[in-house]
Amino acid sequence: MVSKDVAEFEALVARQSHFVFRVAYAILRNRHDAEDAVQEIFLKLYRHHTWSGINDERAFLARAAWRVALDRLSKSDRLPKQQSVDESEHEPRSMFPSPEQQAIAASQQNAVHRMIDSLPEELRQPLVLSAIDELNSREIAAILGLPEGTVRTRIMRARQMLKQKLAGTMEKSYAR
Amino acid sequence: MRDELTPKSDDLDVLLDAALSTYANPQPSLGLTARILAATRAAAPLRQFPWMLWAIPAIAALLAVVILLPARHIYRDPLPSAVQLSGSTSTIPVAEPSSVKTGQVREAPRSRATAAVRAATPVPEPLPKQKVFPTPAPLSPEEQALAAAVNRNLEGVARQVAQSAVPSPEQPVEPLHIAAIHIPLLNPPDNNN
Repeated sequence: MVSKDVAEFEALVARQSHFVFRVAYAILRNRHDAEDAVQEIFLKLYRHHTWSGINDERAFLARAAWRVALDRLSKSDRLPKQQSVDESEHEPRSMFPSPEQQAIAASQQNAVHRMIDSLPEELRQPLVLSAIDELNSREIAAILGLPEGTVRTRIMRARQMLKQKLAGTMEKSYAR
Repeated sequence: MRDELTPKSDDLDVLLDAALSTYANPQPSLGLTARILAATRAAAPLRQFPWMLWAIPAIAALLAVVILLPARHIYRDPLPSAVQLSGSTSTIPVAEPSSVKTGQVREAPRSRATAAVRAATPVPEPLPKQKVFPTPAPLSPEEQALAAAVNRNLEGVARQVAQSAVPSPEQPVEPLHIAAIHIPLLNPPDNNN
């Protein structure tokens, strides 16, 4: 019986550890902190034996990861993102790839990442969760403890803000 | 012209989705799953054997009792609990602490080595308690001669003892005379000063 439980738990870890890591990383924005959070989550699950009999393990684990990550963030007094983002330093120079632009594709993505970081947390969190393993708005709403309609609205607002910023930076680059 | 250069919303969506996919899907370092499993295996004994939560303290307490028990020295009091005078029926009780009455004396726990030595040393059997102290023994020849002489002239001996104890009124008691004590001065005072 015990060995069967252990085997099931190990299968759960192998199946969902990366997903839990991404959820934790979405909050903490630090790889080591996120890995520590994942380890803490699974250790708590194992000790309290709360992992057996879960209906929706993805939603359950995502919510657990969310709580642990927020708890760690509040304890560390560390902001998950950079406070001031100078977007002009990282603005994308063009929409259409050229050899030169392909060479700096990585820096462009970094620029967009910084824009995402600059979003308000209430908009950034649902947006990032929506990009994690295709979490739908119902699952995100369950994780964040918000109504599903609110989650959809915030994701739309976040995307709209990002697109406006991207459009503005690109127009500047065209004007040069 | 400006409309042609303005990026379309669909293009922005594509760019945004591409950036989000890399933003929200980082890869953990290698061995994360193995580390998690190792941590859970380290915590496994308590989870797999919940009885250990109470068994470990119980075993520890039992071991402590087993180890500390030899340190408690138990012996019997070699002294009799009461002293009875020879030839007398009255006994003089001796005040005893409660531990002595029970024949056990509690001592502070000592080291294991001391306890082991004490446990290995054979404890001599205590002598049986005597109702009369000192232990009755046959009279020596001198004592037997003295007892015979007393028995022969019991009345005369008693009279002599009485006379020696009580002063006779016939003999007058002379008062003691104490001479006056004169202590000369060692250094007479100087009258000139």
